[in-house]
Amino acid sequence: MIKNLLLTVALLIPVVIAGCLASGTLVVVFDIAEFISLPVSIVYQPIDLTLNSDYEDHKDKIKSIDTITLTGFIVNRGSSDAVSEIWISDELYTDTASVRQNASLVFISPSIPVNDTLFLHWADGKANMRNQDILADQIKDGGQFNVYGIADGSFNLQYDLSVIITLTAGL
Amino acid sequence: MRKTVVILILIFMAGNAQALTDLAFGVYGGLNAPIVQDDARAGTGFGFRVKFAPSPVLGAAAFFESRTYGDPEIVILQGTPNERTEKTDGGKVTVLGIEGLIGSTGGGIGPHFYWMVGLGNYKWTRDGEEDFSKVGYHLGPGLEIGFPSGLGIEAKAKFEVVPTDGGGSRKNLLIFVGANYHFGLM
Repeated sequence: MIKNLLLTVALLIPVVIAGCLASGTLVVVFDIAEFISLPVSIVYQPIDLTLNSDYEDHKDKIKSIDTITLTGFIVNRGSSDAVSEIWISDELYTDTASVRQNASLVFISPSIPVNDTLFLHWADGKANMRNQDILADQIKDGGQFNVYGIADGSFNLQYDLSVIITLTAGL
Repeated sequence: MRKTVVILILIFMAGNAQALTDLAFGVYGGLNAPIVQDDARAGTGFGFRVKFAPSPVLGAAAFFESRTYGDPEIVILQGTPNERTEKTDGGKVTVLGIEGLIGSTGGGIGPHFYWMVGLGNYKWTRDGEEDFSKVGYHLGPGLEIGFPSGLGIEAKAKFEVVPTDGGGSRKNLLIFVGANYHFGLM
């Protein structure tokens, strides 16, 4: 009797947590390639994650955004060292002051020397991320927003980055 | 008469004198395979377990496991001049847990098949990531072959589920082989 009871309990445990059994952890990679950012008439990069088939297939079943990081290259083509900042917003802005005032900062790079390239490894990018909850909300809320790359003073930055989103979704 | 009945019951339950109540210590190692986890690859692990079986059909154990995941890889900037493969740390997992055993749990000579179900503190540490620490649950079968010396060779498999925030979970298949030494209290 006790043996059967224990066996039943043992078999039921996975069933009890069945709600979380039918899920998987996915890594979605979205590229922001050859994006040039200048201080005058600031350029934005529209992001549409629905163009990524992995995201599109699971966007309605996202249970959690586990991590978000950036990997890739940032090239400083300006005339002085630069600390790159990446901001996001649903709105369109045309100057850095408006971006800083209204958008959300999601990334700050280490200082990039003039005419030098910073390469961010997958494991390194996370330390430079900011406000991940805001970025996660954007990802969960349709995945469409604008990205701005800015820096102090006069800047000329080229971004060749991949956004790496690790998410848990229903299968 | 009563004495005879008691002796017969003991013989029936034990199978052999060592099996009635058993204390065993074991070490094991093997495969740590994530299931539907793109951010981790299969790795290895080892552990040790102390098992106490107060009867030939029921037991309890405490265990510690140290496991690794393989490093996951992705291709970034696909189709551009800067395309490259990037990898990150798969990380290490430690689990301190307990489990209940039902089946043939008492040790002794010959094959012993059992089921185990348990829980443990699952802690996953990776470079560049915050530690992930949750309670995980597992279920699986085990088969041990006991030898007269008190040694046993064992193989076991566990299906592990670690619920995460948001209603998801991380799941792993663990396959271990190892050896136990049975102190055989009775």
